[in-house]
Amino acid sequence: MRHVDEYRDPARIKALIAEISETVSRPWTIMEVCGGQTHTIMKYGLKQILPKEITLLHGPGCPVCVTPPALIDQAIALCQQPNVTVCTFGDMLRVPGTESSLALAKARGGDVRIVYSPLDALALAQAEPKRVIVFFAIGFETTAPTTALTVYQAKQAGLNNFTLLVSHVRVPPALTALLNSSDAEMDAFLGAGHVCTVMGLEEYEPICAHYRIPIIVTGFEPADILEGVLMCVQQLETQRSNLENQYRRAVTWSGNQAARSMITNVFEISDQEWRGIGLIEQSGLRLRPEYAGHDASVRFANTLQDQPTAIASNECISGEVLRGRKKPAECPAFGTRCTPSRPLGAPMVSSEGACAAYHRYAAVPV
Amino acid sequence: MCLALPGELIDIDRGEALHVGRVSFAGTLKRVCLAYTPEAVPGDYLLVHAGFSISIVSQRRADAIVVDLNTALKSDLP
Repeated sequence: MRHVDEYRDPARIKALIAEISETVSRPWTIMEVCGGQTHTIMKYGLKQILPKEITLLHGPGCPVCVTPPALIDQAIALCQQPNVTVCTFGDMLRVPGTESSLALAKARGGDVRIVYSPLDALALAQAEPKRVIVFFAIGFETTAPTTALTVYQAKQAGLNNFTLLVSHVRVPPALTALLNSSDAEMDAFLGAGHVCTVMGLEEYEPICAHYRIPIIVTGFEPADILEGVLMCVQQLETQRSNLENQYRRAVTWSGNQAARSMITNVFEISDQEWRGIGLIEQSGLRLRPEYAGHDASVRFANTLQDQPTAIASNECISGEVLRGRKKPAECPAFGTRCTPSRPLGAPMVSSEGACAAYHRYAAVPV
Repeated sequence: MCLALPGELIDIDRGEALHVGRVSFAGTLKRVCLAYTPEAVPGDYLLVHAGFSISIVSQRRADAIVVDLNTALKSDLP
């Protein structure tokens, strides 16, 4: 597959490892922001082939993992309402809320449907006008424009039975929150390539300057990750802290202007609760008031106000994992009481969750 | 969730309310919304996320960084 195979070429990977080994002179800790990058690192065994001086920390870039249990509880409550259908991406189904999950609610008769795209939920709203469709909109800035254009289309078409339960989050405030914590250990970030495909690079330059930390916006294939690590090491070894773009084939400085405009038209920035981490100011997106008719939290306010306070599992250490403080295998429940089929927390469920990556790929302790 | 794959744009259906095209992922065809890459033409490789094209993949921009990598590749040759 073009634009994929060349970044999995063993000769290229071997050359990059050699270059990193020649460049590094002392220990450095690098955090990959995105869960997709974590899975590439685990799938291709990159931790094992990198020089011992390089420590990789796994970041919070898994939207399924950071969706607060209160919103999952709300989605569960909505799917049990008469003539209401909840649509969402497949990763969300097994994520535990306080007492249940969307998968369990579906098994008990709730109307939950998996979609590949928010446009599939819009098509369902057109096909079933007597049902209210709630699209459970999770995701970072990569996904927000897909939701935004879909609800914009619904509004234009007068499709009043299409609504959103929004849990969109933004990367830059999360990086700032991590850097502001007293125990921040990372020397550099591998930035989330697909978020920057939409948003561009400009939000990250002030972070590099203020915290004096290199950020290398990086792709998702093994050669991308290693090239990003090499660019981090080159900066760290020469005391530089710049923003650089490894993922040039997809990311430009200003990103995708049409997508950014649609996000701004439909959403406004809000404070957001992150599962396992807590409230991060200015880190979320919510629908603008003119979209209130398509906002499930407004349309179903009476149903949702009766929800008990959400509680996540006490045993799950996902907050520590998402902040890079602990590795999944350090959790006493990892692989025993918490598995992909019976997860205690979201990172064991998602295709971007660090715990799922370790459970699937780590044959040896890493 | 931020996963996106590159696929080749095969053709464009201009009859749709939304700008839509068929994209081939190693032979598997998928309908994709092109609203965010309206300049895309058949033969372009698009980065597709959740049914939307979010970027046209640029070999020219990719090559800009491969120059340095080629130096590393050569140094690894016997």
